[in-house]
Parts: sequence; structure tokens; C-alpha cells
Amino acid sequence: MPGIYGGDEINAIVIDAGSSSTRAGWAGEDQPRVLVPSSYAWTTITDDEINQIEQEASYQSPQHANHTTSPPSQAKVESNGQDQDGDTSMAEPESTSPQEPALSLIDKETKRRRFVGDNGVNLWKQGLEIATPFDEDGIVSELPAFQSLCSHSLDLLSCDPSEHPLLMTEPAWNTKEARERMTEVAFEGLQVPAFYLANRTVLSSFASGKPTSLLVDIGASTISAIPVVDGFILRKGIQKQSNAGDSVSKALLWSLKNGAAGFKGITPQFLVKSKAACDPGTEPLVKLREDRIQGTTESYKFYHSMRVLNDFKEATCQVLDIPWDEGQARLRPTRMFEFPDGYNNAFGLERFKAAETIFSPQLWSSNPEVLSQGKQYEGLTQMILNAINSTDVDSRPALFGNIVCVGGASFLPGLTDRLSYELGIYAPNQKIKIHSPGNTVERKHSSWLGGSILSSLGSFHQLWISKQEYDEHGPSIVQARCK
Amino acid sequence: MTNSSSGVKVSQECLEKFQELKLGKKTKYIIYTLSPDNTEIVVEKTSASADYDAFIAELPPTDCRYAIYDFEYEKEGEGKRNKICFITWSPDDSKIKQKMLFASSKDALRKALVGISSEIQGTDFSEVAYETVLEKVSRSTF
Repeated sequence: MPGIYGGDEINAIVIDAGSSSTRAGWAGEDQPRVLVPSSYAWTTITDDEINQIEQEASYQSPQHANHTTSPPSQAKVESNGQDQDGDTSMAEPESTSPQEPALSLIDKETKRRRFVGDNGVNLWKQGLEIATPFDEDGIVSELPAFQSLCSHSLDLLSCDPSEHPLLMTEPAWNTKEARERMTEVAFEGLQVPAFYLANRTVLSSFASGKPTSLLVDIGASTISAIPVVDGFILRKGIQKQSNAGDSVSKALLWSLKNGAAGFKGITPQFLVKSKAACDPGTEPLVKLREDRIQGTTESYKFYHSMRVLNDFKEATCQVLDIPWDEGQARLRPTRMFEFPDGYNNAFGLERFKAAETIFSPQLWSSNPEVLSQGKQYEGLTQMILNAINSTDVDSRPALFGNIVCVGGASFLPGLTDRLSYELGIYAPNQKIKIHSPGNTVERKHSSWLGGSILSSLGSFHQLWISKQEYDEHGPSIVQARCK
Repeated sequence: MTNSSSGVKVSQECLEKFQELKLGKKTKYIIYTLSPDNTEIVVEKTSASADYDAFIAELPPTDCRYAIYDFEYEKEGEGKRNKICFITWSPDDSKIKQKMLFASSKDALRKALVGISSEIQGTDFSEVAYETVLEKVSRSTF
């Protein structure tokens, strides 16, 4: 069965769903075409509304499924906020494309209606909540939502999944159960003809040309240091913690709340009606959209505040070049940043101290607003040493010499310099080489890229799990075939 | 021997040349590469020259290769020793597709060749320099 995919042209699809964003695209291309938030939005929905949608879905062609309050009013929502309460039951035109009827976005049991993709989470609606299909370890926990996310990504690619083999990525610590569930989503939900589940860590390691490496992946929710030897993960060496990119953002927020003059809290763009210029460090002159304050949920505000903080972080945050020394950090140059509500200031100590969440988590570990409590946190350098020391003595020199840094938060300026400085102190006898791809795509989407190349190879065709094999053996076949 | 992560196979010639090197002691090094259609690992070159610099000169600065080198060195007070080294050459400047291909296919070749005493993963010329390899080779105990 898999033999039909001969040669290098097999048009496979690659989906790499991280905790913050999901990448999807065609195998063989050098970057993902689709980049959407992994989070989704939902509102509650009544039985009557469910019935109405079901009727529409069964009697009408998909194009008519979102009638009455149709695109023109949606455009209004965006431009001047003349939105209305009764509108929550209507789908966004963007999220109900012909291939994906509104029906699949409804969860009858919990009476929820999902909105996925950029528009799903960004267009404000009354009572909209934000959630994620993953648990805090980045393992798929909500199947229907995960499937909507995949279908949405595939819609944006304008492809029919039943005609293309699909490669998905998984974290190194994925559970057996979650692997089988992902396989089910692929074959049952998306109806793909062939499927493969590849390990993200191994893909990133291969994409940097290294069958053996110590792979450091600093993402939004998880930071991990994992030894890979000859293309296989050494499970006992896996080090992972949750003090990653999002924690740096939360540390920034805490510093703002506790010490930034004139700071009145984050106001995400969707609440800003108008703003006026104000002096640095003074209270912002902002008019809020009073009509939206009432209907905004905590989770929606939090999600969008984190996005603002993320911009703030990318614009200002930096890792101090020496082990943490507050006096030194105070002497470093400051940087300006203006928030969506017009508040602006110069930031110095804050921008360095927040980045220490990664290197000196002890500075923040007792602060429940920054790091979740009841867990042990080690600095990144120590995580790497622990990961390497858990391996065989013979493998260690190769691992020290092949440290690979990937993930969005690895872009924090100064991160690799600090790492090599600290590793030099703690492992003076080892030859240390830190490799981080200079190319943004290669670093941010390294696992997607690895999957893209791998699944585009003609020789890879024999490794796909075909639909026929899945029908014969069930989802457990993934355990035997994708190691 | 087909079970590499990429599905790339090892040609019979790879094993034959390796056997010649191992038994005949005439061949000093072998350079392996991928076939043009990227489905098979093939022999690019074999040489009887023991000149290490000549061997290093065979490694292209922006392309990946695998190589076997029969490393001969003097062990103090114990005479000459021979160690067979397996080198994965993946320079930082090579294309990502090449890196991915060579990294994911390495296991197939490595597992097919029996009797290798040291493995080197090289990303720049300093990592495959004579001194670096000598140090690594003389440290290994078998």
C-alpha cells in the first residue's frame, strides 16, 4: 500500500503543534505555510442553537451555513465594535470554510462552540473564553479541539487530508495513550491515507545535522534538555521544566506591577478605544471600550495580555552576559517600550531580571505569579549538566561538543553566550560547542523543517503507516512503527 | 539494515569496501556519500594513501559525507596500533536537507559496519583534525 508513493514527489503534509503555535505545510518546502495559535476560543451554546446549526448543516450547502449576520457585520465588529449580544452563536466565516462545517466545532456534551485559528482567538466576542488542546506538559489532552486545530490548519493550506500522507510531531515525553489518540485523530478524524508520528527532539537534532546531540528546546511553555545518541532519545536523561518563554513574560509583568512608575496594568489592544501620547513613566491617557469590559472573560484577557507581554519581551528582554549580579544589571543600558494603551517607559533591570527565569529560577521560584509552585526548578546550565551526566561516560564528550539550541525563546539576546560562559565554568575540561541555527526559520520551526525534509524523501515511503495497516491493527500500531 | 529513520539503504559495495579495508589493510580510507536520488548510501572513493591531510582534503567544506579512516598511531612502549574510525561529516555551512539526510541515515551505515572503534561527528575541520582524532582514538580502550 505505501508503495504507491514512489519518488520524491509525494505531497505529504507536516503538522507540528507546539504549545503556543501550530505550524503546517507541505513536505519538502523550506518553511511552514500556515502558522496559527494553538489555543482556541470557546463560548457556551444552548440546545436550541445546536439544533439550529445541525439543521443548517443537514439542509443547506456549506456556503449558506452562515447566513443572516454574515460577513458585512463581521467586518463591522472589527472596525468599530458595533457587535451585538445575540451574535455569539454565529460562526466566523473564516473558521467555517466549506471543508469544515460548523458542526465539527460544536461540542454537544459540554455545550461549547469552538473558534480556532487567528480570527477565532483574536476577534472579540461576548463571553469568549480561551483554552488550549494541550495539558501543561504539551501533551494532547482535548481531542476534539486538537482535531479542529488540525482541520483548520489544513483548510488554510487548502488541501483535502484524505489525499495526502500526514506527518505529525510529538514531544519526547509524549504518553503512549496520547500517541494512539493522535493516530486516531489522523485516520478517523482527518481521514488521511497514511500517517507517521515523529519525535520533535530527534527531528530538530537531525535538522542540525547531528545524529548525536544534546538538544535544548526553549519553547513557550516548556524548556527541555534532552540527550540524543545515534538518533535515539535517552529517556532517563530527559530534563524538562516549565520556566520557559511564558514564565519570562510573567516575570516581566510582575516587575511592571511592582515598581514601574505609572503602570496601571496591561490593556490589550481589543480594549483600547483611543489613546493619547503621554510622557514616559506617567499614567496612560487611554479611553477604554466600555462596551467590551463587561463581556470579557478572565482567560480571554489573560491570553491577550500575554501576547502584549510577548511583544514587550521580544523588544526588550536580554540575558545578562555573566552569572546573575543585580548591581551589574542595573548598569546596563535601558530600552524603551510603548504598550498598546500608550504607557511607555525605559526598562533596565526588569528586562534582565525577567530573563533570569531561565538561568536563575531561584530568583523567581517562590513567586506564584511567575512560576507554578511545588516544583523544583534548575537553571538551564544545570539542566544540561544533569542531562549529560545521566548518560554513559563515553557519550559525554560528544554531547558537550554538540549542544543544539532551538525554540522561540532561544532568541533571547545573549542566551547562548551566557550558556557557554556558565558551561565553561562548570565543565572546564570539556570541549563545548553550542550550535544554534542562525536562520530564524531553522531555529523557530526546526522540528517542522526536519519533518518536512524527512517526509519528502522518496526513501521515507516505506515508513508510513497506511490506512490499511491501521484498519488491521488499530491505533496501537503507532507504538511499533514510530519509535 | 534498512531501518534508518529516513528509510535510506546501504549499498552492498559499502560493506565490501569496508571488508577490504578491515582485512586487506591496503585501503586506508573510504568516503561514502548518498546516491543522486537520495535512496542509498554508496562509496564515493577509496584510497590507499595514509596521508591524513590528503584524507581531510577529501571532505567538502559545504557538503556532508561519511568516512572510514584506518587510523594508525604509535602507542608509547607498546608499538603500532590500528583503530578504525567512523566519521560523520556535516559541516555547519551545508544545506539543511543534506544535514537532515545524512543525520537520519547514519544509523543504517554505522550498524552495517562491524569493527569500528571510534566515532567522530565533525561539523568543522578542527573537529576532525589529526590531534583531535588521535586524542579520541588513544583514549578508547578496545
